[in-house]
Amino acid sequence: MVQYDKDDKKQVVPLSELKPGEKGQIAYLQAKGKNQMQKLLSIGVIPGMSVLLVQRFPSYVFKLGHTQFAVDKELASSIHVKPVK
Amino acid sequence: MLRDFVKNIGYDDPLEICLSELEALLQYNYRISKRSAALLLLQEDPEMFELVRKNEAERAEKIFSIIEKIKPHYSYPLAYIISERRQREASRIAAAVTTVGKKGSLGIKEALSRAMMNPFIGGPILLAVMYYGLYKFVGNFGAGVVVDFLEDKVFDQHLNPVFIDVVNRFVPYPVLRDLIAGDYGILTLGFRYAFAIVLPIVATFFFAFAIIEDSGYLPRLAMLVDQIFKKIGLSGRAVIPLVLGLGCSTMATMVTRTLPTKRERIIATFLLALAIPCSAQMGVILALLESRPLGLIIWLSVIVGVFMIVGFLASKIMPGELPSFYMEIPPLRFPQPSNVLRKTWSRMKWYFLEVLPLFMLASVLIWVGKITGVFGFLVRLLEHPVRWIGLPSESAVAFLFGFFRRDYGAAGLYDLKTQGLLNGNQLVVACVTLTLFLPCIAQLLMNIKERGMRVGVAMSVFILFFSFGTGWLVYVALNLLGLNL
Amino acid sequence: MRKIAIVGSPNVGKSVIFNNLTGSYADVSNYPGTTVEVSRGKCRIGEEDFEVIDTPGMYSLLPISEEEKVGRSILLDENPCLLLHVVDAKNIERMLSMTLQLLEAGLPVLLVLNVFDEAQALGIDIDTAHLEKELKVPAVKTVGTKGAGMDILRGKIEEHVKRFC
Repeated sequence: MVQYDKDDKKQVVPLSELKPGEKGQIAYLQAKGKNQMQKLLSIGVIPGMSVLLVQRFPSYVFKLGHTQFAVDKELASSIHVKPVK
Repeated sequence: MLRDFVKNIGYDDPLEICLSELEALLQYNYRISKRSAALLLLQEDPEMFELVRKNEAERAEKIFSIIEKIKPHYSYPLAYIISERRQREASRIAAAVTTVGKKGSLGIKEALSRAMMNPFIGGPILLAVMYYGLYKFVGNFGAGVVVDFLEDKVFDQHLNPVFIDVVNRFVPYPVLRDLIAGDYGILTLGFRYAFAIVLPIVATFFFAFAIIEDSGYLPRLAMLVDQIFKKIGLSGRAVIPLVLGLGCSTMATMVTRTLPTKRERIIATFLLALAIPCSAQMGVILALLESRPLGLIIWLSVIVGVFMIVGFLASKIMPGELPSFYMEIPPLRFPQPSNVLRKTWSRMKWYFLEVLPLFMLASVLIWVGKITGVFGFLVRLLEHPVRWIGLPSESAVAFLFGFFRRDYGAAGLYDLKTQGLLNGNQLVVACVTLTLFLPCIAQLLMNIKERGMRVGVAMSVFILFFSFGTGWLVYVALNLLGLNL
Repeated sequence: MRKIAIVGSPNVGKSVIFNNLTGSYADVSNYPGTTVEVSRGKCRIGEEDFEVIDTPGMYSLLPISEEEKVGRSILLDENPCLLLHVVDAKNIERMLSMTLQLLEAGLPVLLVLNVFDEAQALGIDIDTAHLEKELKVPAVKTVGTKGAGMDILRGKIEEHVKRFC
């Protein structure tokens, strides 16, 4: 079984709760359906990768590597990250 | 062709055991390595499952049971586990081969990009793009200056007299003369509409659109409008086909393929057919309402209102998955002149090859219709709904043309306006009706091709009634308000 | 005629590479998903004519959208003798995942590190030789819009064909 221990999970927040300019490391994904999960994985939203939240409104924009992606709130909340100071 | 050398990534033990079991069972030639086929199965690829069911005979059951057995070992879907492992390998290689030196500056571009995505600065930027790109460049320059020049100078003064003269001299039969150079003749009408009215408008639109496209503005716009588009059952992604539809709705209908769900594709196709005027049509409409700013505002509000209300209702009625939005935002890039020109040219060519034969065909059909009396019959039939919405009977001809192409119909109205047959209110009603009116034959065919016969035809019937209904409402409303535009 | 297929995620410049190789024109835009139809063209490399196929973008070998399905079926059904996997050089970390997928599948890959000028502007450099050793496939840096690296690309295609096809 691959499980993240409890302590780890406590510090983890949905990407939608970061402030613009804050960085995080993707911990896990909790997407609604198989398709949404697949979509995120295929664009490279994969545990271990670092993301930077650029903007929250009117859509969420985050930077993954050197590319920016725009997503709606639903997808943004399905990406759980560990904030990095 | 498969390589003999296969680079493998090692997954963790339970997965590896499972993979080797699957590889031993897979017999069919999937044209990819057995390991890769097994991995796709573990990631629940539906097409792969189908292939296994069809080709592995009695082994299929065993294969599926192995897959089911491994799943509970992991608290996440296997696609997730596999992607994570693969990404770790990718990250390792990337780190080993890249060096990051001193950072150059992308400062200005980044600042501009943020501004475009800021809702408070992005809105005015959008208005500026629309005003200069569409209204000034396509409307005033393309549909105004260039069309006037080609219409008045080139065709009316030079080409048409020559056509008529040559035809009169060399074609002995009046019936044939009519076909080639009569009021609705192939040369005097079909050819003239295509070259003098439609071409300059479409060319200027595609040019402006190519610049906007290549700069990377559209994904930023998509991100801005996503929340609004969600209300009409679409995601921000749909902004690209819809904006392209302002150029040519037929082309845009093809581009709706990039939308992820069937529901979004149908709604977008429908809105393109109903409420998005193509550039040729819009250009003529801008020219028609040129001296009546209030009329232009009323036309625009009605069309935007219809777009939102019908979209909203369609999204309530249509079953299916709600859209979710994700989009890569590419860096802003300076459009390359050579690419802009090449793209404008290739689209113009596509459009023109599509349009010119239809225009000529329309001339021929009208000619046949006139000889047989069908044309007169249809015009008289259309005169009724046209009169209900307060237009002179003469405009029935324009609406009949509209069946061939919306812009063709709009161009017909333009002729009426020049003859002074339409007042302000009538112009606005006519523009609204014709904008919402049936898409051109090309788009109707594209709708059927992309969405199927049932959906394509149903849309057209709805649009036919809806456009006249809305025209009537506008007519009544203008009268009740006592407005004289 | 043997076939070369161009694959890669959306908006990495596949169509630019296609246009460069074939001298024909496939629509190029600065947003993902421009190529909705498959373009085909001819290209002469060395002594041989190839059919070049430009595919709609796909992020991975596991398709989600209609276009991605089209892309994958080309890889599988057309049996190309070489895949040009075009990637955005500055995003190599994210892009290599698909390269690895193609290699796992045993497909003949040539890695094209495109839009290299943007990577350079960010101060990123890539050791192509090292990358080739890691992946055991040829790799080339290109700037498609300026035609940079295209000669080397042609050279490597020729070499690959001679050795493996």
